[in-house]
Amino acid sequence: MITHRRSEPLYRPYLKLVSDNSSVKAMVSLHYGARVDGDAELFSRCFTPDGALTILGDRRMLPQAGRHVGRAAIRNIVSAMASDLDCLDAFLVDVIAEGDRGVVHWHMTLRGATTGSIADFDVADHLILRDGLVASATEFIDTTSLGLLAGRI
Amino acid sequence: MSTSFKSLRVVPSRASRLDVIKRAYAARIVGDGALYAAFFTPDCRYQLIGNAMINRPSGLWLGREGIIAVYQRLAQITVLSDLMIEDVIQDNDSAAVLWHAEIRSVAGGRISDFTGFDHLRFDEDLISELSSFYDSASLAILLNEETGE
Repeated sequence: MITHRRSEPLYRPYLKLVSDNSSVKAMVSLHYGARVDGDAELFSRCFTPDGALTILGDRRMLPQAGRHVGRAAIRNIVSAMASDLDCLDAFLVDVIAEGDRGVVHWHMTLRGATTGSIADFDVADHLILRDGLVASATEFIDTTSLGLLAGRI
Repeated sequence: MSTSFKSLRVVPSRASRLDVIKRAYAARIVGDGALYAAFFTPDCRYQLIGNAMINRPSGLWLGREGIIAVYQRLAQITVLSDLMIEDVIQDNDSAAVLWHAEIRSVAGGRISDFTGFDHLRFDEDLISELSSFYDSASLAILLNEETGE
């Protein structure tokens, strides 16, 4: 006969998620909310202290292009972009997450601060998370249209 | 006793979709637009991010015929001399493909490295949507510096 005490259950409740994307998706909502609001401080705090933001592009067209390491550098570069380009609207198209990696496809409407022109952009970010924070983000954006909007082309 | 199946649907596995991605990108590097298009649904949407005024093949292309057409146009101006898939992330019916490519300008012969990202959506084991992101300004510089456009 098998006996057990009430205080010692036969089994421990255990929930295993087949695919735990929740941490990536929770981070994404905070991360992109801060970015769209132009809150460079909160955006930079979504990164690990040694986190890196890489904006792919040619610096002749997009001076903020390149790899920016550390929260201070990330805060400065996002502030610089926000002063060049007003984000009028943004929404997430898709979040693809697997383990500690994710890709965010988002759409935003930008206005060039100097030209006043308005254009729609699809943007994609490749994220690598560590301890619930972004260790690496690589941003893909249509740099030609961005150059036109900023009056560099 | 007889048992009849009206249909048997098999939920596509991650492995089968990864195999589709590998074979599709293999077709892409050999420049076989028709084979590449065969991995897409007949009514697929294919978007090359960029400004159509400057990045001429960019825009939204529809159907397999659209994919074949865009690859014919790309082949006239560029040669994909190397393509490496760096990462594939799958989540439900979406996938992200991070790639690195060496692209050569047909006009001038100059080669540049590009890192890009493709956002795919699947319908069963075929790609129904693909949006391709890359540094469009650098591609324009590569192609236009030598043609003087």
